[in-house]
Amino acid sequence: MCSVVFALSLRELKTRLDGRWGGAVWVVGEPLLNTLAMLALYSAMRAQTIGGVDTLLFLVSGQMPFLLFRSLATRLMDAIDSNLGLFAYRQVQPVDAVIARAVVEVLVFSAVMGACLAGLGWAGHPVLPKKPLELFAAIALLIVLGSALGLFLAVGTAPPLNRLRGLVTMLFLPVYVTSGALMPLGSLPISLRGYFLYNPIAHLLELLRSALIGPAYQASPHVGWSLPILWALCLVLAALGLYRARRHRLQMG
Amino acid sequence: MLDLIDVTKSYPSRLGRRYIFRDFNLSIPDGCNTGLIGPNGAGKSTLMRLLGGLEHLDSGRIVTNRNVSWPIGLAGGLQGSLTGRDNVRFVCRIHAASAEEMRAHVAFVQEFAEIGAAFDLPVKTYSSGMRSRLMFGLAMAFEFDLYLIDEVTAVGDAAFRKKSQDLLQERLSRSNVIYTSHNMGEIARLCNIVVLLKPGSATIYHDVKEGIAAYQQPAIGPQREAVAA
Repeated sequence: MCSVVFALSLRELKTRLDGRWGGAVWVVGEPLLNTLAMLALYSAMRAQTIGGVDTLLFLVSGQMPFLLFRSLATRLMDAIDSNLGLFAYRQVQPVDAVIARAVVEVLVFSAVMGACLAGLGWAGHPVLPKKPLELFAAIALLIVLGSALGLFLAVGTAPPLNRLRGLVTMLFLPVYVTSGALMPLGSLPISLRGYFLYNPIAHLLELLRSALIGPAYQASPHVGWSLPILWALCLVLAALGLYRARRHRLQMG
Repeated sequence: MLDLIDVTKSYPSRLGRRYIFRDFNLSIPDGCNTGLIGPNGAGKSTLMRLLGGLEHLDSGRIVTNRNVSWPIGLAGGLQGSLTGRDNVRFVCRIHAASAEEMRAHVAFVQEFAEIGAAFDLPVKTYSSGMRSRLMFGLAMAFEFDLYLIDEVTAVGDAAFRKKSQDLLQERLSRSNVIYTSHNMGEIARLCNIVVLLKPGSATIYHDVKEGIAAYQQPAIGPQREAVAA
């Protein structure tokens, strides 16, 4: 199974990078551009700090991890269909394609996030994580949530239901808005904050920020690890259960 | 030895569950090159996919002590966005080949397929002849005890047909084959037993000519040694 996942990861990486420099630039540039667009918005509003920290660090620590979660969920959704031809080899199972794509997504995220933090550090921003273990725990939970949701969607929207995929992608917009990637939970009116607190990603982003930035960031006191962990457990169970139930139908295309 | 024991396979369809095999039994002895013949829809390709481990059985078992190839010549097996070379590398990797083995396999396929510079272009730009050259070369790069071949040598131009037949003939000195074709000349040349598959039943003929005759005149052909009812 290891050699299969390795082979599939290389194949994913190859098509992702497209064998050209343009492909590699786009892989790194897409999340960067996304973050820069938000930065431009905040600069236009002349916000120098958000939630007590500078805007750049706030955005990088929120936008990038959210993009990791979203691209895991949406790209894993297509992983099985884009490898259908390779299930002609008995050792290649549908879940291998999902795992391989998750590996590639995490690698790409690590490269982009690492480059971002290095760039910010070089420019004099305080990027050394104050609580590195909690930072890794938060990122690991994001990866688990995104991968489990991705596997669930990959199996749940397998053909003939694949027309639902456009709809599913649109549903990530409200998740994005309520994730707190763009505004700290502490700055919200209480009547709105309740909605945000239903979103496990919002909890994780707050925890991630306070782990990265330390007490300078005023995290909302209502966030905690229990809700995201509960979500992660439920999603993993649901995804694996659904895969187990339908695994024999996935290779037929 | 290759045994199918009480194999049941069905597919869900709009018209309800459709059974391809129901309590199907078949035993193929060692050292036999088997020709699998039968009318369209008898389940030849499904049987190939079952033997290749690509389909899940509803019930029953397939038992073998031999190293069986993937089904060669059926759709699939190549990733369109990757180059021919990368596809070969992929298959080497999933078979856990070492670096030298991979180099040897890639060189073998490149030499056998003779598709020139297209070897480094995405497979989706290939013609169907180029695809089958690549697929057949890829399968022959690996040593299996039993090759599952679905009418693959029938495609391609005359030179390639000759070449692939020679390679297959050479390989059959130490391996065996289960071969599906509607070309009875091929079956008679390659195989020493014939399995005639009809919807719901399979008959083994140890005399190839007799099997082919039974296939060509299904209504009056003699049916001996029924293996499965």
